[in-house]
Amino acid sequence: MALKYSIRFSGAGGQGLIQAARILAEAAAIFDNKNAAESCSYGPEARGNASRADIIISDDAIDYPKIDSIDLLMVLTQEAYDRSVKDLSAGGVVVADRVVKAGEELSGRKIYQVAFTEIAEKRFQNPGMVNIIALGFFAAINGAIGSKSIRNAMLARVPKMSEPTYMRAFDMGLEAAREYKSK
Amino acid sequence: MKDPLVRLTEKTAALGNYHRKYLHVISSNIEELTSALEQRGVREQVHLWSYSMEVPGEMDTVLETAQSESQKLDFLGCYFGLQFLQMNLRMVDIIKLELATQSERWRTSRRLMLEAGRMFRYLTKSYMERLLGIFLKDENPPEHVMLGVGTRADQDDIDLGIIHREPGDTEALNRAIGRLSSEMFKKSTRLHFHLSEHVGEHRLTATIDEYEDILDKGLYDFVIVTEMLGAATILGSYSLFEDFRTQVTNRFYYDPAKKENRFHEGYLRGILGEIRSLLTSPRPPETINPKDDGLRPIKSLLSAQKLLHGVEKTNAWNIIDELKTKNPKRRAQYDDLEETLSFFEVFRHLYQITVAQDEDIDLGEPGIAEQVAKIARMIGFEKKGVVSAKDFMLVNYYEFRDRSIDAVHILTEDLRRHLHDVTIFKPIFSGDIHRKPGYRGNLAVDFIRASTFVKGITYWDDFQQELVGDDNPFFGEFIDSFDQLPPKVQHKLAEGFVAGIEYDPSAVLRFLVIIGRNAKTDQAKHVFELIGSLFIEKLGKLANATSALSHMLYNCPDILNSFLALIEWESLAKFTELAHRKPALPELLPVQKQVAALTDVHYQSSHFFKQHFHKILNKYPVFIRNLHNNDRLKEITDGSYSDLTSIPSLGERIERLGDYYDLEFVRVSLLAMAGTHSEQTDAEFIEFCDNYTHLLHELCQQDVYLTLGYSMHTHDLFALYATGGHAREQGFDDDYDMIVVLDSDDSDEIDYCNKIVGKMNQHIVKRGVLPHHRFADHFGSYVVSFDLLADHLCRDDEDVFVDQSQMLCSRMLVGTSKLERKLSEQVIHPHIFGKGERYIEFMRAEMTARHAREDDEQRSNIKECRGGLRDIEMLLLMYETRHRVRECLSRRFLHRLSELHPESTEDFAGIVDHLNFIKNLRDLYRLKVAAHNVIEVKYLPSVAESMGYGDDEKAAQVLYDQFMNRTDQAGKVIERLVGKL
Repeated sequence: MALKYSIRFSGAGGQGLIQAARILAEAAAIFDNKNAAESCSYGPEARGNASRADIIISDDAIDYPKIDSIDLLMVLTQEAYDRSVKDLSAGGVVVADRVVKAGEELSGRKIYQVAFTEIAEKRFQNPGMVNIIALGFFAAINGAIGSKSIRNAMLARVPKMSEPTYMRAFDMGLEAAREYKSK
Repeated sequence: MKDPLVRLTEKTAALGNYHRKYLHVISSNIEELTSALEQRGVREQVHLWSYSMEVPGEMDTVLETAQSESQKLDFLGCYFGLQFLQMNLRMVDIIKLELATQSERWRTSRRLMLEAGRMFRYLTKSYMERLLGIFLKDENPPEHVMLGVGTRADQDDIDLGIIHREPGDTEALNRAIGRLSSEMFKKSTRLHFHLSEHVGEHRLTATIDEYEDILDKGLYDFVIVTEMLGAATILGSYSLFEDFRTQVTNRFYYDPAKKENRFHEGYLRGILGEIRSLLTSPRPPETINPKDDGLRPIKSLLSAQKLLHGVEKTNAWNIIDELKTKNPKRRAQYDDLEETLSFFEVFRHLYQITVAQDEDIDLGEPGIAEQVAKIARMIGFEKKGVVSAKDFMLVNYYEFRDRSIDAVHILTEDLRRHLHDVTIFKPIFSGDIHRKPGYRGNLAVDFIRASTFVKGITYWDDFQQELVGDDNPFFGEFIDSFDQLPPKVQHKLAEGFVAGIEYDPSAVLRFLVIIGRNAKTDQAKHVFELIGSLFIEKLGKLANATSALSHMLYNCPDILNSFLALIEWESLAKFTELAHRKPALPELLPVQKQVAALTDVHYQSSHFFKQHFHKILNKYPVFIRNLHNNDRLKEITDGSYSDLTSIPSLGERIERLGDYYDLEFVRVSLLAMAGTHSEQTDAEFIEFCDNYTHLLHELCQQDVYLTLGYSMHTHDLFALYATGGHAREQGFDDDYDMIVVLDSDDSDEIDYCNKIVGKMNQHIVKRGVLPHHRFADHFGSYVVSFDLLADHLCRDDEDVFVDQSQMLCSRMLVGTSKLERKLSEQVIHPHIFGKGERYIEFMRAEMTARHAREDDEQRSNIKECRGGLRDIEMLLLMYETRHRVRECLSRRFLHRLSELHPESTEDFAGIVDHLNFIKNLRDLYRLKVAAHNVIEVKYLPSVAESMGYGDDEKAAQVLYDQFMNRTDQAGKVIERLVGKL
């Protein structure tokens, strides 16, 4: 069956989630030769606060870059979770920072909770890398886009001299996923 | 010879990593493309490894060689990638060459950036035309036009708006554009359809009717309008675009012939709010961002200015050219904008193609400073002396930014004036609507209704201004109209007033503070509380409340401070909780700390502290941003003190001296509340207090001279003494005991000096400190002569013992050593030390009597209890008399007594330690709870926190018990020491 997968990244403005979404979309489209579309919030409300980016990954042509329901929701704040959880598809999955409190609204759907922000702060000493750690985690748990493609797409988006830093953050995300699975 | 792909890959290494995407596409398809071109015998007609000037024709040749649709897409993508890389490599070479050799750097930059934009559009347009040709083959699309609505030379994405006109297969057109987007995402540049998200039902395209519909219904925001106003055709029907301009975008241009310019006004309000927000947002100190620092404010301004002056151009430089002609009086400002635009665009372009497509450039990130240095050299900056090319360019960067901000301020002021003249709210502000006989509406509702014509508007300064002023009738009418509504409607309306918080929280905050400051009636207070609590509730629900709070602190620290002072305790607690939320962004952490420091001060401080805090902070917003940084606060207060001499007006100098006192009071109080030892805070308190008194005396002397028109030479005759707590070098008293002595019996001279002291009193009172003149009641004069003083203190009645104590502990603030000697020889030695035994006996009796009267309340009185401050003071006075020395009765004297009485060293050391403890406790209680001497355990948690005990009730009890035990112990030690006298 042809793949069609929609992902939403949502958090606080400036957490780098739009960048993470773009990396993922480019990984699928450029390095995995799938079709991908990406859109993000740009209205006056995006001037400082809201941060949301949607991507669609598909084997077939994408007629419209907007998503109807979310197959995977990646959120870093409670507000972002509250805003988007209603759009989750029936079999949808959530990847959330540990600060997020999920409740009955999930109706049994899968949620991965990882202390992304804490890892960025404590083990990486740079909270700004939270998006890349989350991306590494996603690379390890998803079946839609290859981990190597995500890594290549990520490196194509960063300054050359920052490559080692980003690689380390990405690997921390992979490691977090390994730890999660082993629990 | 090297393989051309290897050569291109090597050359591309000089560009940013995102070019790897193009290399990936090229390397996947180049062999097949070359082979196909060779088989067709057209290889020589296509520039694969060099920049082409014939892109459309060569793209057609490439397409002719492909066998299938997918091959066409791959070949075309490969050719696009080759041309794209060579275009950027060529552009870098041209910029390096031209900017290194041209003298007119910014004019050249402008030309080069226009050329870079033209080259990029030429390439992308050719590519898009051919892709659409493939996707629309055999389809019957409607007439359509594809418009570029964003920055033309931006290679990271292309913002599009697509208009179609029926008849035709609209679905086929939308499918084709969807595929175009996917294909370009893979092999070229992302497409964005922000306009499409808001207009019409055809997903990616819309008709002119649909655009008109959202305008008529008010379902749009100024971001959409900016895109529409900047639209330029990429491909498609030019006549359709012309119709779009006539029917849609022309609505936003100012037309003096029209009675109402509603669309024009709505857009101007959106842009004015946007510019203010951009210019006042906090920026991380080590980060530069050419887009936010200059390009966005400039382009937003130009987008509004062109509507005012009827300019139809869409390119920023071209708009500036035409504005210079149409509005020549602002030519200098337009010149500044033009140069800044040229510099920022060329810098950003080079950063994006050679480093990364990020907008934020963190100069502290490893390697970034070196890259910026490279760009500086590319732009033509050279090392000069010890200044590197990079630093030289950064200095230029900030100079350009500041110049453009100045120009933007002047030009937005023009927009504000224009808005004031044309606003649709004029009839509301003037009262023409609601004061008309027979008016059945409601002013508050009318305003909200009229203001909803465009989303995201944050500029309502004119409306807010109408509400300002004591007993303002418009304010009263507004509150009455609100109050008349049923509670549910009031709530709904209040939600309308805080709706703008998502776009600009500072604008809502300003509105609230105006209401709060003017709220004298219960109705007005109710309106303030209702809107204020909704504001805090909504703030807490924002995706990034910390960012909003930081914005407010930077944008309007004085307003934020006023708001915190106006809200009720419960709301303040909620606000404080928000302020302590950790920000998601690390760069916001310093600002979050500032916000938290401000709210903590409001939440955890006494009225005694706040009376100084509120008075001064609204005048010095810079202080608010540095509440947690004592070094910076000290720099500010020192600077304000040093600056006093440069103020020509005496009145202003006295006022600023008062500000210095208040600022220092706040600074030292904050230091104490942060847990600094009282020995240090006392020293700092007394230093500024003495500075203040000394200079105040000088200035009041000048004032009396100017008022009377003559001077009297009383300098060597006049002495001002502090007594009480100030004399003992204890900070945070709320009164100021003084004794003024004049070495003269001349009534004119006494009168003259009384006038000086009277003026000093007037100013000291303004500091919230009560000046007490010990002998004023007795002598009917602030100023007393030596002879009168000696006559008074030589008497034997009980009152005199108290006055003797005051005199004994006094400390000279103004006067000469000659006068101090005279006081010592003629007053203190003969009349106090000379009757030392009697004095000590009296003091001992007074102490015993006070202890005997001690009840439960007295036991908790930190000043009067056994072992309290009063006991320590009396102990020192008795020992001073015993040793017949004139000493400041501070900790220093206790140390000296310890040396003089080696047998009691431990006791005196214990008193020093105890004094430090109760002084810390007393200061913090005054600053955080209330200026009372009776310590109540229920108020101690926040005091306990500052003293390092913890911040809960348990910690408070531990502290209270320590206070009881320590005073009890100290009381015994004091009795022992007094017994030894």
